[in-house]
Amino acid sequence: MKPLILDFKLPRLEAENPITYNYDPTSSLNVVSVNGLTKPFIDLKFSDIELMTKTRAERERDDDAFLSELGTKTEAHRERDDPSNNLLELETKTLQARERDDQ
Amino acid sequence: MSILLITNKTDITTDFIVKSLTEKNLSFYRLNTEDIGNSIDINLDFDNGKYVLVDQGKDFSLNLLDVTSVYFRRPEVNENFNDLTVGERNFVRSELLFVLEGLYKLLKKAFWVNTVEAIRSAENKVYQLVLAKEIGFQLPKSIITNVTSDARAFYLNNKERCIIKPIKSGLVAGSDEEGVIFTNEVKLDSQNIERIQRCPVYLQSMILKQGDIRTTVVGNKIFAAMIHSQEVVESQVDWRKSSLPLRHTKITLPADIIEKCLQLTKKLNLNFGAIDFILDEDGNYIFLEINPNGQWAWIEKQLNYCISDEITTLLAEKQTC
Repeated sequence: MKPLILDFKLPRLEAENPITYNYDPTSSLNVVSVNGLTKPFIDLKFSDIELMTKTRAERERDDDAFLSELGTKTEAHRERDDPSNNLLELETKTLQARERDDQ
Repeated sequence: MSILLITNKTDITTDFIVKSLTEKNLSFYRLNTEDIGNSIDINLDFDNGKYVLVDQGKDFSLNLLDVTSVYFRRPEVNENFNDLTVGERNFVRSELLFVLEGLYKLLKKAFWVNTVEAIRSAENKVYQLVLAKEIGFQLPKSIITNVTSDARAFYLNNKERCIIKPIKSGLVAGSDEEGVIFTNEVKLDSQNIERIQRCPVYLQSMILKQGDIRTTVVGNKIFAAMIHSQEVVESQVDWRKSSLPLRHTKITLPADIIEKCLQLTKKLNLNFGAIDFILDEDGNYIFLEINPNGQWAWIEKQLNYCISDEITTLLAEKQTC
């Protein structure tokens, strides 16, 4: 007899974050490359994200499915004043984070 | 003075602390604990009283007895032992975790945000509710039970409008599955109510909300945010369920709520706490829970709150609450 609470289990989904960051031991921060410059992930602005995603789009120009997904995400991000906050929120909030048991 | 950050590389929240410490030109070391056994060596020499971490990657050595403040976040251990059996991996993991526990004991004289003992004690939701009630917070009507008759009576007494939520955490994790359980409205019937006997359920009365309040307490400072959870259907019962970020606004808490929040963190020996409330339709603050190691970075970013600045100030000044 399955405990009732388990009826409410949902699959845990990884965040759809288009930005890849890497840990830099020198600065002790997670960083991204924006137009050849290294920048802390937490300092990303919308213009950086646009720059990064457009660069990726240029590299994968023939992949129509990728470009159309990119457009959808960019639109979603444009709904707010500082859409870079959305990426950060995705990375730091419980639902999407890789943490074990926190809220 | 030496500040130690105990976490893992992917912990973005700690990046905010690193940035603040760097801007303040404060001496610190970020210990990404999963690197112990990789690029980080640990040497605890009891005969000579020398307890040292050596970061080979940074060519840096830390005398643990020099640490004056600790920011404790998300330590992990190295999981890359593909050449071992499952049992052997579990053994090694256990050894690594116990060494970490020993390291925490070595640092017990330092100022912690927060100590591991305080976090573990404060995490228990039963204990939280008892304390919150003592302090005078308003609570939802609440029951934790595996007795069907009591659950049925509670459900009926609350007009069949109840939520069910995990008692510890919502994470369901195994070797080949990852699941999560949020707070949900529950409909109890003669079929499903029998299934509470094997595992107690945590039921609360359903409260109609204006929104959800996230209160971040750092020392004696309060940073309160209204999360407009009612603007999106999927987040109305549990704001964390929203697939897109929700609107947040700064909110000033009533003085009595502030006072109670500070009482609660003091009683729990916490220098940091993330307290969740419902703001009900009548403007009452209904206590839900406190997370002694909860997330806060998204609040700082959304609302320009100086939470990381306050945490690093606390670490630097070594104040106790």
